[in-house]
Amino acid sequence: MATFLNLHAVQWIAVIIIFFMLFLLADALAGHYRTGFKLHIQYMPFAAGGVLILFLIGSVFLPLNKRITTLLKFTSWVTILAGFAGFIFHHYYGMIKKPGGYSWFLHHLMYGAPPLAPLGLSAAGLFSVVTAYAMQQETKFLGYEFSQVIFFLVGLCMSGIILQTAILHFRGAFNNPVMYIPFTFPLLTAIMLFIADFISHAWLDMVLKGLLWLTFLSGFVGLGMHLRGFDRQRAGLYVTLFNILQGPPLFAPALYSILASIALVAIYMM
Amino acid sequence: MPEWLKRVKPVAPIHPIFVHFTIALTSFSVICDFAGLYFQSESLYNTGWWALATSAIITLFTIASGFISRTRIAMEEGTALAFLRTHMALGPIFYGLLLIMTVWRASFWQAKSGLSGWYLLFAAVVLLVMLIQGYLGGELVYRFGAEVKRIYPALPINQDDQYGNFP
Repeated sequence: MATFLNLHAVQWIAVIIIFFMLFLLADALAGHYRTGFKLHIQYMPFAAGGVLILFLIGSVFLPLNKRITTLLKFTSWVTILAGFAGFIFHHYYGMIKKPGGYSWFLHHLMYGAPPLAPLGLSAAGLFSVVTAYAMQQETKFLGYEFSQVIFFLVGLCMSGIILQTAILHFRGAFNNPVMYIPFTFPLLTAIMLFIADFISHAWLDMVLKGLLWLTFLSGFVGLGMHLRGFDRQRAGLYVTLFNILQGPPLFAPALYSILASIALVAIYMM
Repeated sequence: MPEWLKRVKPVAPIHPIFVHFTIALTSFSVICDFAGLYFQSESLYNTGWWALATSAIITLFTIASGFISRTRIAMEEGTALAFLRTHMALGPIFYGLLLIMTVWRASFWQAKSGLSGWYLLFAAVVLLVMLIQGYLGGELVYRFGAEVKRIYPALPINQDDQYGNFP
């Protein structure tokens, strides 16, 4: 594997996953704080994600240390399970336990706990598992090339994020044309990543690289527009905490950039 | 906390300080790249890379301090706020472009190869976005008085405003 600025591909992926977790946990903190941390289980993402971040930092500095990578693997699996548990809890408390239950499906889907958000934790865990295997000098993961696995996972995660974005932007009534951006480059990128898993052509590589860079940029467009979104509410960011809690999820668009950068590392360096 | 420390209020906005680092380092990098190309100087070429790398790091603080600045201005609806919202939306977009530019520049630096025309064209676009962003910021301060002390006094909902100038 090639190096870039003295870091190997897997180290770069570990660094990117650290940011992935930090952004995810920041949005989870806003969401869980808004509900007042009524359940102890709401602290779970911070415990699982926090430990994962620690081992990821360790693996960036000591990628060949077997003990750290083994612990990273274990923590990653715990994080994957924590994400799935969160998915079930979000569904149970955000849909089933809400007045009206399934008969108010669309309402709860939009205004209840974001149904797919906890799976972000599982996604970070999955990337960490793959990274840990690559750090242990494995040549393949479940019989597939690492770049193929990364492409598949990024495509899968991007599809999930696009679906969650569709729900929330529908709630926001697509009041700004920029809100359609996640259904342009990122959607095309997700499709192309699945295609790239089976077909390998020079032109496909070129198109994919272009789409990934555009998806990377679209995340920053989202960050800017979400910031603007906070400010369009009464008193804007002058009433900081209230409007951050009530506005769009601050760091959610950054996940597009994060996923694109993981795939870019795979395409350029693996 | 000692009494003397309580009296020290960090009221001076730090966003304008960081902003000038971003502007200076980014434009200096592009100037060095063009000059390096013209004079075929490796030293200018390396300076271009390090200036851009520093800009990519310091711009994070520029964005964070800009966010802090926004939380301190009780600005009413109108032209000024429209400028401010555009400035806020454009900030992260500029940073995204700057990161792409930095990664691209790093690849040239690592390969010890010459810069491509496409890179220089992209750098010009980034400079243009920075110019627009700087113009919006300049208008906010010098035309609308954003963060100029006593222009936007604190509202009753936020009396512990750092300016402490609520009437």
